[in-house]
Amino acid sequence: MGSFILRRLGQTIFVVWGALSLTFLLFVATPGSALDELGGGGRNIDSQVKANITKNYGLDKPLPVQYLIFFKNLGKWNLGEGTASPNNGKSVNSLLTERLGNSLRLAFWGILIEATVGIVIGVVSAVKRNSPVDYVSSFGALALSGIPVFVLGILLQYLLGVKFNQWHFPQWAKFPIQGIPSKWWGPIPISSDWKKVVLPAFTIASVSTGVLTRISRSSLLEVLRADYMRTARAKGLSERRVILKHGLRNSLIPVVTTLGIDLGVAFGIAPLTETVFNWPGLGSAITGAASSQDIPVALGLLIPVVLAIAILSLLVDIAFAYLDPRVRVTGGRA
Amino acid sequence: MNAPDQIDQSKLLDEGFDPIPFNPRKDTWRRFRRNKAAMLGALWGITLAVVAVIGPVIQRYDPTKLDLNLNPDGTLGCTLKGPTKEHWLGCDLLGRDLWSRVVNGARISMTIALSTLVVSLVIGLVLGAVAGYSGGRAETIIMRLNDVFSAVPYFAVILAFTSTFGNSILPLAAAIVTIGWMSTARLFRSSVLQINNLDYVEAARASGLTTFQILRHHIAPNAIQPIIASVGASIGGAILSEAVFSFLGIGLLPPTPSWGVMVGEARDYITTSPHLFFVPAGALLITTLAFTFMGDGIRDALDPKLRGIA
Repeated sequence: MGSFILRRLGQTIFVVWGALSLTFLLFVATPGSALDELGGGGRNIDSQVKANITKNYGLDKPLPVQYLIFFKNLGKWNLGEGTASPNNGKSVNSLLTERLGNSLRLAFWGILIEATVGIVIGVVSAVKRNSPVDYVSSFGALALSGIPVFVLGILLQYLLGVKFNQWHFPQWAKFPIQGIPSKWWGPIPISSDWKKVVLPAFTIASVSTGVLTRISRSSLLEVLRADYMRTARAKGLSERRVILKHGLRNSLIPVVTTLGIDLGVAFGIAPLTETVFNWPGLGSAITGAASSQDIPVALGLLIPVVLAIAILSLLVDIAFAYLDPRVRVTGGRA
Repeated sequence: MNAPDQIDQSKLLDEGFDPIPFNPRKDTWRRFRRNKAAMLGALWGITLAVVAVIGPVIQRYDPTKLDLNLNPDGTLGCTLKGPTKEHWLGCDLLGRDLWSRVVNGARISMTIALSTLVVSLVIGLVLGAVAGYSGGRAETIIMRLNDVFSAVPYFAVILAFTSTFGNSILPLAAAIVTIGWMSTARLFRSSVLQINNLDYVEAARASGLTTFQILRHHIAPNAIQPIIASVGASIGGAILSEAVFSFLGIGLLPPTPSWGVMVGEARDYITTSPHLFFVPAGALLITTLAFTFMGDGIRDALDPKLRGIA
C-alpha cells in the first residue's frame, strides 16, 4: 500500500507540474493581453505609461524568466493581481478567499442532492428491475444526464420565477432566481433568503444525479447476482436485510468513487450555474476574467482548481486501492 | 422425394428467421432498431445533418440581416414578434429571423461536431493503439501526456485558441479536440491491451505477421467496439461544448447565429419574449437528448450483455 501511495503521489506531482506549465504557456504565450484593453475602447495610451506597466508586471522579461517567476510566486502562494476591471489591482489571493467559500457551498448542496437522489432512485430501480418504476426512472436518469446545464437553469428560473406566478401558483414562485443568501453558518444558509440556494443547487446537481443514478443501479444489479447474495437469502435473512446490508454496502464502491470525482466536476460546470444564477463563486469570477482578458486573475484562480482536482483524484485512487487490493498491483482505476 | 420434416426456407424468412445462422452486424442493427428512443435520436441526428447540408436553401432569410424598419404602430420591423407567416419562428431583438438563425446554428453545431469527432478519433486511435500495443516508454509518455491534458483547465485551452486565432469555428473546433482526444485514447488503449493478451493474437504473432497486419486485421476490428459505442456521446458532447463556451462568451461571439450565442442573448428577454430562449434552447436540448439516447442505444446493441445493467 505504501509503495502504491508513493508511486501515485509522484505521478500526481508530475501531472500538476505539467498542467500548470501548460496552462501558463497557453495564457502567457497568446497575443491578446489586458494592455490592449487598457484605458478602454481603443483610447491611445502614452507609450511611457504602457512601458511602465509592462515593466511593473514583468512582461518585458523573456518567457523562461517569466516562467520561473511564476513558479517562484506560486511557491510563496502569491497568485498575482488583477489587470482589468472589475478586479483591477486587486490581489488574486483575496479574490480567491472571497469566492472559494461560495463555490464550495454550492458544491456541497449539489453533491448532497446528487448522492441522496441518485442512490435512492438507483437502488429502487435495481430492486424493482424491469418494472414500470425501473423503466421510468432509468429513462429519466438517462434524459437528465443529457440536459445542458444552463438550459435547465434558465428554464427553472422561467418556470418558478415567472410562469408559476402568472398561473396562480404563488407558493411556487417563492424561489428567488438570482443571487446568494447573505449569511452562512458553514455550508448552511441562516438568513431569511436561504431559498436562493435551492434552484442553483438543483441545477448544478442535475447532470451528475442522472449519471450517479445509472451507476448505483448497475452496480447494485451486479452485486445482486453474486453468490453471497444467494447465501444470504438461503440462510433466511429478510429481503430488506439482504438488500440493504449485503447488497447496498458492496455496491457503494463505484458510487463513492463517482461522488469524489464529481466534486471536481462540480467545479468544472460551476461557471454555467454561477453565471445563470449570478452566484458569486470561483466559476463566474473565472468566466468574467476570461472574457475581459484579465489573464492574471483567470490564471491565478484556475491554479487552485487544478490543484484541488489533482488532489481529489489522488485521494479517490488511494481510497479505491484501500478498498480493492487488486488496484494496487495493476495501478489504476478500472 | 421430400422428407416430411424438411424446412421450408421461404416460410422461415417470412417469420423473420435468417437462413444464415448468425450475422453479428444484422443482429446489432436488429437490437438497435428495437430501441425506440435510440431510433428517434438517430432520426433527429440524420435530420440535423440534412438541415446542415441544405441550410442555405431552406433558411429563407440572411440570419444576420436586421429588420428595423419603423412600422405605423411605432414598433420596429419584426423585432421580438412571435411566429408569423413570413417569420416561422418569429424574430429576435434586432429583427433577425429566428428560423434562419436556428437553421444556421444547426449548421455550425454539425460542422463542429463532425470535424472534432473525426480529428479526435484519428488522434485518439493512433495514440491509443501505440500505447496499448507497444507498451514501454511510448506508453508511459502517451499516458502521462494524457493525464496532463486532462488536468489542464478547458478555460486555458479555449482562451489560448480564440485569442490567437479569433472567435470563429475553426479555432473553437481545434480547442474542443485539444480537450477531448484523451478519453478516446485511454479507452482504445485499454481495449487494445485486453485483446492483445488473447490467444488468437499470440497465434497471429507466431505465424510471423507484421505489427501493422496484426493491429489492422486482428486487434483493431475487436478493439474498436467500445469506441463505436462512445461515438453518440462524443457528438453530443462536442455540440454541447460549443454551446457552453459560446454561452459563456468565450466561444463564438454575437452576431454569429450559434445556439449557445442565441441562448445567451435571449436570457435578458425571457420574461417578455420567451420564444427567443425557447427556439435555440429547444433545438439544443432536443439535440443533446437525441445523441444521448442514440449513444445509449448503440452501446446496448453492440454489447447485449450490458443490456439493462449499464
